[in-house]
Amino acid sequence: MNSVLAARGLVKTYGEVHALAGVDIDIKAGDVLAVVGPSGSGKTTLLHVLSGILRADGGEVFLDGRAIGELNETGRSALRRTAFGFVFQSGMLVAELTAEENAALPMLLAGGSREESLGAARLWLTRLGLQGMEKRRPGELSGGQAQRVAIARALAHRPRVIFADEPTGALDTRTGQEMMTALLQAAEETNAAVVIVTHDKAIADRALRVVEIQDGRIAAGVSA
Amino acid sequence: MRIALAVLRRDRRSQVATVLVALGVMIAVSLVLWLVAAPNGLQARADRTAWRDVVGQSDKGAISVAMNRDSYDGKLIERFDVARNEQGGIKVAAGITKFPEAGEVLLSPALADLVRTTPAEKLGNRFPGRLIGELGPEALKFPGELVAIIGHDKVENGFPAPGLEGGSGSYRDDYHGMLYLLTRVGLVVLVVPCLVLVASAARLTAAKRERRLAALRLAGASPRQVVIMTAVETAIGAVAGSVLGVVLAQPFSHITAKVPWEGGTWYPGDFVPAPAVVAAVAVLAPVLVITAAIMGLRRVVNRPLSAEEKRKVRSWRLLTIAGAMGVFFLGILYAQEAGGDSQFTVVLLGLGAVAFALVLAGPVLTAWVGRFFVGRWRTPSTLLAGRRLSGDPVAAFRGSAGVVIAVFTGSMALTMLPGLESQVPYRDGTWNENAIVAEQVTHDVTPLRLATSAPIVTMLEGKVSTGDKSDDGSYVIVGRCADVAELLTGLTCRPGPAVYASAPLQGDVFESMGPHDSVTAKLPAQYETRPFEGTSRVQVVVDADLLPTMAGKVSMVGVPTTPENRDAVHTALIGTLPGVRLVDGELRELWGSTLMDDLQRATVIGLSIAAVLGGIGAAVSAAGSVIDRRRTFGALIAAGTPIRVLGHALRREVMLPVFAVTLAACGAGIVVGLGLLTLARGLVGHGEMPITPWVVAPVGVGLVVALVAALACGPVLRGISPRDYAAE
Ligand SMILES: Nc1ncnc2c1ncn2[C@@H]1O[C@H](COP(=O)(O)OP(=O)(O)OP(=O)(O)O)[C@@H](O)[C@H]1O
Ligand SMILES: [Mg+2]
Repeated sequence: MNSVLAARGLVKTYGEVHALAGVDIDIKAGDVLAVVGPSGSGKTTLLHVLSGILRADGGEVFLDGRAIGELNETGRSALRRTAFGFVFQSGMLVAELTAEENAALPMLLAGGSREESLGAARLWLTRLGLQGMEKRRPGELSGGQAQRVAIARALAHRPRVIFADEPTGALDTRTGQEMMTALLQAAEETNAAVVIVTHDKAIADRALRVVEIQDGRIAAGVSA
Repeated sequence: MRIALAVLRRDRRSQVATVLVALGVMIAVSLVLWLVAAPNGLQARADRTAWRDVVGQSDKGAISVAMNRDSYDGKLIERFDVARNEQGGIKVAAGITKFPEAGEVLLSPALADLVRTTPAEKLGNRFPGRLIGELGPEALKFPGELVAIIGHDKVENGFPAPGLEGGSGSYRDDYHGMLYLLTRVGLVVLVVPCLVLVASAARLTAAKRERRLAALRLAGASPRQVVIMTAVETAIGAVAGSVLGVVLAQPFSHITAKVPWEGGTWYPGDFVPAPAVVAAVAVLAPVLVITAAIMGLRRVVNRPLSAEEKRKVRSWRLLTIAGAMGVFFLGILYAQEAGGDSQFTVVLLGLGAVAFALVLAGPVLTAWVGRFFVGRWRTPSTLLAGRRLSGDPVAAFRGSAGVVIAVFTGSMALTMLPGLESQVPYRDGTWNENAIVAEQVTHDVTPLRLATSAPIVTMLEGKVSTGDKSDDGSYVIVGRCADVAELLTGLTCRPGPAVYASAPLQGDVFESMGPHDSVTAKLPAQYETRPFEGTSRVQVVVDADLLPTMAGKVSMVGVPTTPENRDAVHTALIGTLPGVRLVDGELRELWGSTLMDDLQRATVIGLSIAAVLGGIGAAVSAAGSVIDRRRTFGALIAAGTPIRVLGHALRREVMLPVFAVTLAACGAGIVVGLGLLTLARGLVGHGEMPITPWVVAPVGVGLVVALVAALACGPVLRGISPRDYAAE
């Protein structure tokens, strides 16, 4: 099966610092890839380059075989809201919006109608065990609940790849594991690939593949 | 303290905020100093012109003075005909070289120049005599004022006075009361946007600071240390701003001195506030700002791990508008009863209450607008804006407070101005427009006949009654009908002696009136009464032939003029009948239009400053609201939200509450304007209340200002990188 997302020889430098120094990676549909490595090794940078938030200084990222480096910011922005989904460390939900509106936001931004988007959002919130909390604000949710809203948001528009940068970083171990379960289940249902950056060994263990980054290079690619 | 300084040195956002705080405080301080100094300016003028208020101090005096207002070429001339009544030195005020004896003339420099460059028969002959000197600035109301003091043997209509010197002047007449009121209203209107600016600037760092301080608290910093740090950070900006403001007030007062009021500009020194006031403002402003910053921090300091709180606004805030309106109108009622100084204070308190209530109620309206859009959004930008407005209405409204106050005042002014216009002195239409009439004439009119070839109409005022003491009688003018008809509007004569009146006269006893001793005569038993509708002042004209014994007696002189000889006739009348009061249409219109021009100019200047300040405040506040939510926006952009959509939402967020609240402010402005107009009408006694569509113009201006402010979000938004979600 062909890769959904592939990267060849990615290089990203900040002045002297080589945040990425030649990274190759292939991600297939339904893949769950954990990126691990010491602090400052380049994990976040890799995630940003793969998702088109950052432009690589060298190398290329391919989505379904198309190079995304050729796209301008508007094109990459469109890509991010249609083909990709994001789960950030502390949810990063819009504080004023309700849970369902937060989850529906990517679909709305992609031009979805109000009913359709909210309907899909509610469906996902229910699947993630958040029924009854659709009208709550992020401030009225626990950290784990907020993170599940973030998963619903990342999945509601059925993206090809979900990127998660330390999604469990702000959660305790048990809640973190629950969140992982929810994320993996949901991704499986939509056949989305998951790229997850984590420090947590227990979280990384749940991935199908683990990639270890050191000084901007892939030190070891362990397949499970 | 050292940490605060270190932060300031490194963090660009703290620097920007500090500069903005300094800017806000600076503008506020110099504006306050300026507005506080305005009464000083009036006092300075009043002190310099105190020598003109000497009349009426005693029944007998060393001199006689007749004061009159005259005009030439659209400029007002203050004219003083004086004569000494006894020998000896006569006290004169500073700026008056010496008391002018008969045949001597003192002119202000500007008038002297004008006389030099104008043909004598048009202007110079109004001041017969030898020019012995020019009046110094100490005796003039403003630079370029036209003043003349003319010495005579005897002043026919003079009032006794001890000399040309007064005590300290008082400026509390109507006209000055107006400026007093304007500056006080201005104080509210201009200081509020300044406060918004300072508050928004302080908030620029607040969100970040709160997080940093919370971290410091967790790290074990004592609340005291935390508070001191904040105080230091804010103090730097506030103190610098205050010092700059005081320094800036100096050149500022010179600019202000160029703004004309009551016919002239000011002397630069007029607008200098008392040192104690300067010191008080300079110290109070930063203290207030720092106190506000510390108060705002108390929340963080007391609860290091405070979660995001939901800010609820309650609808009772709306009631405050009704309450404030009530206070305002009670104030008006009270003011109509009371009069005097307390009148203004009460009205101002009411006005302040209304402005304050608007600011209080603003968030409620904002929340309503938000809820309205949350109910029926179709696009994500409407959803985002609507939720923001209903979610944190206080923050969403804060920035527009200045604009709202400006709109409130603007509609108030636009409601009042046309109404005031109808109240200022106007031509009463008694006399034809081409007529110049001298009232209170006791003089010999022979010199006048010599001085001009124009036809001269002499008239005698008096009343006709039954002769009973209780009978007030009717006011009549005695003169040759054909001549009087040249001056009086609406009088048509036919040959033969008659009385011209709308109804037959009651009684036949004529008694003359005017400045000279009264004489009586009897009307013939039979005479014809011909129709005359009458003007506002003159209802009855009696042909001179009906009262032959009154021949030669004069109390009014009128001259029908042509555009060519008007100035010359005017000059001849003034020059040969010293001390008379002239009724010349030009003069009255001049007076009225000066007042209107002054009001309009003051309003325009004040509102422009308010609009600009409001705009800056709104822009800083809008930019601050974006910076506050930088991480959220960063995450949205990372997840693919087009900046365009965010920009759209932000613009709605700024515009919608401004629109709703300015509409309310406009309504309040109209109501309050009408109230003030009622009060003014009570003072003046006439005037209509015309409302023009223009009163809603401030809403448009407010929206434009808000739009410009909203555009400030653009650059800030573009400055946000998608990776900002992980910042801090
Ligand atoms: N904007 C930037 N400017 C300069 N250097 C940067 C920037 N962003 C990252 N770096 C550097 O690039 C390297 C990789 O950073 P990156 O954030 O990818 O690390 P990371 O593996 O995600 O670390 P962590 O586990 O701590 O999150 C680091 O040395 C970092 O200092
Ligand atoms: Mg990282």
